[in-house]
Order: sequence, then structure tokens, then C-alpha cells
Amino acid sequence: MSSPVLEVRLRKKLPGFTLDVAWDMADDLVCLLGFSGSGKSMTLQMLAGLIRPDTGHIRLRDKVYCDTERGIHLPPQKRPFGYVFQDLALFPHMTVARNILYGKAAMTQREKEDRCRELMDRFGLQGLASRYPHEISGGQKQRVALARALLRKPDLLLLDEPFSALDRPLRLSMRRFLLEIRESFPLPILMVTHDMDEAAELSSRIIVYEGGRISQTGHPEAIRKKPASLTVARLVA
Amino acid sequence: MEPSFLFSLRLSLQVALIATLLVLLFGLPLAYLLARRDFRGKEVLDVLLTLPLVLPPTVTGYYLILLFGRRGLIGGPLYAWTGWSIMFTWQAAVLASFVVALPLMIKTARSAMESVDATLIHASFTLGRKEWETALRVILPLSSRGILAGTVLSFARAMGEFGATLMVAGNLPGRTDTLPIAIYSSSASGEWTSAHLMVALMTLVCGLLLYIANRSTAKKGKGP
Repeated sequence: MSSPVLEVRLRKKLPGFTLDVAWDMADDLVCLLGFSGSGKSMTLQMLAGLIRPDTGHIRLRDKVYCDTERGIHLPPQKRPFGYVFQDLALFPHMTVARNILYGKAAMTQREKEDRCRELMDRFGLQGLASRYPHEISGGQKQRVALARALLRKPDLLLLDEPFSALDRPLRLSMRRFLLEIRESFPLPILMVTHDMDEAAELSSRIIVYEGGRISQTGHPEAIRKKPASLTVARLVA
Repeated sequence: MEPSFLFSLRLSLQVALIATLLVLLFGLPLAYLLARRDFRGKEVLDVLLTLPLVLPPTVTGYYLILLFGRRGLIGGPLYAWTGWSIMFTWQAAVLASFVVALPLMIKTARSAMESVDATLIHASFTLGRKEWETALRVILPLSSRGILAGTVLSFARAMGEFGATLMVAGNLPGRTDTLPIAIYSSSASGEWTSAHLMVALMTLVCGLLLYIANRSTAKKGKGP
């Protein structure tokens, strides 16, 4: 196996909770699975530079974004990661187009607008450019948030329970949609979820979190067959 | 000659307008600092900036004399250097109005900025936008209703400023007699006709401002 694309080692002590994880992933879609409060979202926020670990190391391909031993901790603005928040965090005072165009990208305004149009077409958002977030449906908001994160051509996509607010049929179609866009926008994706079915459908490798630690990693089927702990067994049941 | 009540109305509007512009200029950065940053002495700064809201205006005026008077901490060197003192000028009325109106802006703008969803700010950061870009494009627009309310309240407070203004700008007819001060003079000397007229004017202007403030804070159909 080639060397991992993303290497993560994080430790942070909080009152009553310690996150202590180390894992890596290939150019793939990997799910972080766990109950709420297990440290999955915190891991994403540390990857994005929104929370500083006590000690840690984050490397994506040949670039180091965090290395506490060497005093490296790049701010979120300097990390080319797309981030889709659990509640999507669309800017309510901006239209769909202005939301998607908001990010800072290394391209001309013209190129940005072309890419915005391309993403909107690809994501079925045609005709919604001048609508406001509160005027569109939940699934459309979801796709706007994804388009906004992808506009800047990120090197890594971070998804924090992106489909948890949707009802079941929509959630299923969004999963298929995510698999489709991975074909047209190939980039490593790290997705946080507490839904084993979702993790199993989307990824061939799952990292299971339990109380701030990793309790198991591997193929969804292997985890289903041999859960490493009672908590994991409950999670995959 | 211009009737004196018209002069007072014009002066009051001029003083309140300039004071409000200064309140916006200084109040918004201060509100942002208090809402978004943690630093040593933050609570002390907050108390200092809020004091003029609760102190009797004469006490605020007294402090302004200590600071800006001809022998004041700032006014002294200024007078020695330029031969000019702000005391008993219309600019002093602006200063007094500014100081008493500033806390109103800081309070309303700060709470509006604090209520902006932190995830939106994080989203802006992860989209590559620096703090100042985020402040201008996300935090300010989403606080606009609070800022507008703070602006109207500040203007109204500046229009109605009496105590501190009297201490630092005095009551010089045709020079520093703003509407509230002219009303005081008229009623003190029994000139009831002009007092009636100015009281009615003042009530009208302040009522109108309150109406605008209420309208601007009421939830509209569009937006967050």
C-alpha cells in the first residue's frame, strides 16, 4: 500500500474529556463513526484549524498543517479543506450564488463565476442563484453547502453529519449524490456520522470513535462481524 | 433674523448628527472588540464605557471638565499648544452627546454581534476569509438591525442631552443653546410660548425616532 494521503495525530485534554487519536487515510472516502460526544466533530474542527490540539500532527500529502512539536499550527484560512457543517452554516443574508462564490479561491472572478455555474448545474441548483437560503428546500441547502465548499477546489473535504437534518428518503438520495460527485470531483473525503448504515454504504473504511479514542478501524463488514466492544456492537446494531 | 428656536433646532440636529457619526465610528469597533475578543481588562473597559449611561449627566460633565477643561488633563496641553479650548463651544455639546450616547450603541451593537451564529464565522474562516473580511461581510450585515437600533437610540439620546452639555458647553444664546437647554431657559424666564413650541418640536422628533427604532428592530419578512 502506498503511503497515506492524510496523517492525523491529535491530543487534547478538556475537563471531563480527553481526545487522543491517531489515524491515517488514503485517497478515499472514510467515515468517522461514533456516538455524539465521542470526539468526531472535534477532530474535524481540529483538522480545519478551528480548535488547537494540545499536541498533534496533521499532514495532507506533502504539506504539514499542524505540528505542535515544531510549533506549526496554520490558521483555518491557510488550510485548503472544504468544510460542510452539521447545520450547513449558509449565510442567511446572501443569495445562493453569493454563498457559493463567498470563498477565497486562487482564480479570477470570471473563473470563479464559471465554476459556480458549473457546480450549480451539476448539483441541480439551476435557477436558484438569486434565492435566499430560507427560500430553498433542505436538500437544496445541502447541495449549496457542498458547492460552496467545493468552489475553492479543496484538497480535502470534511463533512460533519451533513445529512442528519434530512428525512430518510432525502438522506438516501443525498448519499447517492455524494457517491456521484466523488466521481466528478475526486478528492479525499472525511465524513462524520453516527449512522452505521450510512457509513457502510458510503465508505469501505470506517474509524470508530469511543470516548475520545479509536476503538476499531476497518471495513464495515469486518466491524459488523466482530465489534471490538459493547459500544461498537450497539453502534452497528 | 432667524428665530431663536429655529437656531436651537438646527444646532440640536447638527450636534446629534455629528455625535451619532462619532458614536458609529468609535462604537462599532469597541462593540466588536467586546463581543469577539477576550483580553485583560475587558470587564473594566466595559464598565468604563457603560458608566455614562448610569451616572448623573452632571457627573459625566464634571469628568469631561476635568479631562477637557482649560486646565484639564487633555484640554490643558491642547490650550497651551493651540490657544483653543473646547469648553463653551458647540463642539463641546457634541463631545457631551457623544460620551453619553456611546454606551447605547455599544450595548445594542455588542449584543447583536454576539448573537451572530459562531458556526457562520467558522464557515467564513474555513472558506479562506480573514477575520476583517468576516467582520465586514458576515458579522456586520447580520448585526445590522441592532446597529440601526443603536444608531437611532444614540441620535435620540444626543438630541435630548442636557446635563453634561450644560456643564461643558454652557448656555450661550445663539451659540450653544441646544433645544433642551433653550427649553430650560425659556421656562425659567417664563417665555411660555417659545417653551411650548420647542417642547412640541422635541416630542415630535423623539417620537419619530422611537417609531423608526421600533420599525428597524421589528422582524421583517426577508432575511435572518
